[in-house]
Amino acid sequence: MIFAFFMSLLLLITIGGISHPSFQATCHTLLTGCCLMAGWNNALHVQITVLCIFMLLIITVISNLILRKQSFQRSLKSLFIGLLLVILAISLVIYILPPTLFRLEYGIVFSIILVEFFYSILSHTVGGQIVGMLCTLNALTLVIGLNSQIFAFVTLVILYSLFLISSIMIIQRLG
Amino acid sequence: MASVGDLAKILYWGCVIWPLVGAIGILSCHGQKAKIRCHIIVTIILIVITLLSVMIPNDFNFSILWNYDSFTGFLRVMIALGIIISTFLIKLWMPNRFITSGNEMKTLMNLIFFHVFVCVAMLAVAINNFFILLIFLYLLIFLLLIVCFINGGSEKVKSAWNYFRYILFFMIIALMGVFILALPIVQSYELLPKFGSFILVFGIIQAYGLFPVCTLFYRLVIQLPSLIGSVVLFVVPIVFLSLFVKLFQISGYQNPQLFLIGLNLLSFIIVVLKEKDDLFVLAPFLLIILTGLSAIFANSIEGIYCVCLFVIMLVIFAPLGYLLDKGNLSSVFKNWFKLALSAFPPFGIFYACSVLIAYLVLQLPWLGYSLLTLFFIRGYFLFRNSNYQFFSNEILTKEGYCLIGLIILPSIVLPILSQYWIFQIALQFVHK
Repeated sequence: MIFAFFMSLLLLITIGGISHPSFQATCHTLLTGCCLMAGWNNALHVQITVLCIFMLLIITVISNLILRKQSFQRSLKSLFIGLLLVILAISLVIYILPPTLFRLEYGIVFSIILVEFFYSILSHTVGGQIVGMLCTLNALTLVIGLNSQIFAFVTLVILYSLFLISSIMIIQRLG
Repeated sequence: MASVGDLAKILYWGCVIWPLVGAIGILSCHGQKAKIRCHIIVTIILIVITLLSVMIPNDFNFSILWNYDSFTGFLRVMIALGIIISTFLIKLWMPNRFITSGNEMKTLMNLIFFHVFVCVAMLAVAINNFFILLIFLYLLIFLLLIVCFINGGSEKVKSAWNYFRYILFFMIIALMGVFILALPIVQSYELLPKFGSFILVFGIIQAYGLFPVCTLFYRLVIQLPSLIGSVVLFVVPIVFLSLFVKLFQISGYQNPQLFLIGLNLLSFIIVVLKEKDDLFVLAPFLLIILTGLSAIFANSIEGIYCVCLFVIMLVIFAPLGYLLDKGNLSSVFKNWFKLALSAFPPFGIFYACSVLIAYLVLQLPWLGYSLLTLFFIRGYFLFRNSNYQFFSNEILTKEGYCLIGLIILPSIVLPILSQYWIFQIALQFVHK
């Protein structure tokens, strides 16, 4: 119940663009951490969940530093597309996945990935693009943190670190 | 009607005829007239392949799953050989006085990056773990971003950054597919493995940077320095090929053949429509066709044989062909060498199209035959619009002899040299 509540909150944060990247990155990352803590009981390996939460804390700090001076804007059109994508993704996943799984949660994760990717494409500023991909990675963290092996976690860490390094480089170049 | 064995046989014949068709492709590089000649011969070859594949009895149908991993070892050795050969050739090609002026320093950096790229690709191929392979793949794209930074220009950096984000997104999609396939209940529910496999393959194909992302992908490749561009076009695909071959190790994976065929057809139509453009523009489409084919056929002994040959050709010939075609140092080289190396795109295009059509005739006869008819009609119009002489004297020049040598090398010498080896390795993979 608490898990579903946090997930819905996460979705809300995802769709509704707060036009300050570092604030949105912080909110999204911390809420992902909250979701992981709420889904603790269902986790496959508890150690990996703990590691994921620690990693999310570190990423909150780093992304805050990176995105300090950035800003972005979201039009009504992009918000509408985001909403449409959420409806599509959730209905597709609920149709396909069997009722014994956490269908809604999978649907939310999928829709976060899709929506943030499209926001990232539509965004004209570097800050918006980085936040979009960061939120996508957060959604992946949710899946990996709750049901995965050590290799997947290592992959996740490397994806995060390469992405953060490249975004630092991009901000320095394109500002 | 058609089993995996039949398809494998088509592929095998495609493999045998590939060099021949490739030679025709080389001739087709020079103008409209040669295109007509090429067109007619390719159509005839298509019909021959189809007939042969129908006539062979169904007796070497090995299938399905393999687990042994010496194939990756083989690929690693192949790529290592490729690196050595290409290093040697590049050393020959580089001017002796390597002074550290700005431009040449950049070339040197690109050369070093080229080798780092190939090494990372080699590691990615050698690793037998999906996640680690993804890490290496991602590292490859990250290196690409760094190269764009070194070579400057905000346009370049922008397109590299876009490409980087695309790859990340589709990798995440592919990872989601793997997680769905890894669910404990996946076997007991019918739609679930199909959905997971589809998402996985879709993610990989898109991460490959092709249809519909191809325009973006291509804009990026054009802007890159030619060494790195050749890596993106010809070395990264090897990692994807090996990824496809490895997918069958994931339990619950069901190959979404119809989707792959549809994608192949789409890229094939684009290749035929746009054939007047630069052949290197078509390379991404060609590569998606080849990857799709290898994904369809990856499970049989001829498929593995074909992938091996393809990798050999790719590693040894392709990057250099690309380099020499774009570089301004090409006058240093003899003509035939350039001709040989830049022949890769027509090679692959006609190879892929012959195999694809033969496959379609077996699988979906009406579609295959209507495509063949369209080919004929198009050929008729090409033929009517120009008066043309079939065999000209250009075949009997010095370049023509080199061409014949080029045909003999991959069709006779390479198979004989590597036959026993490849066959032994392929046997390890194919479960009798």
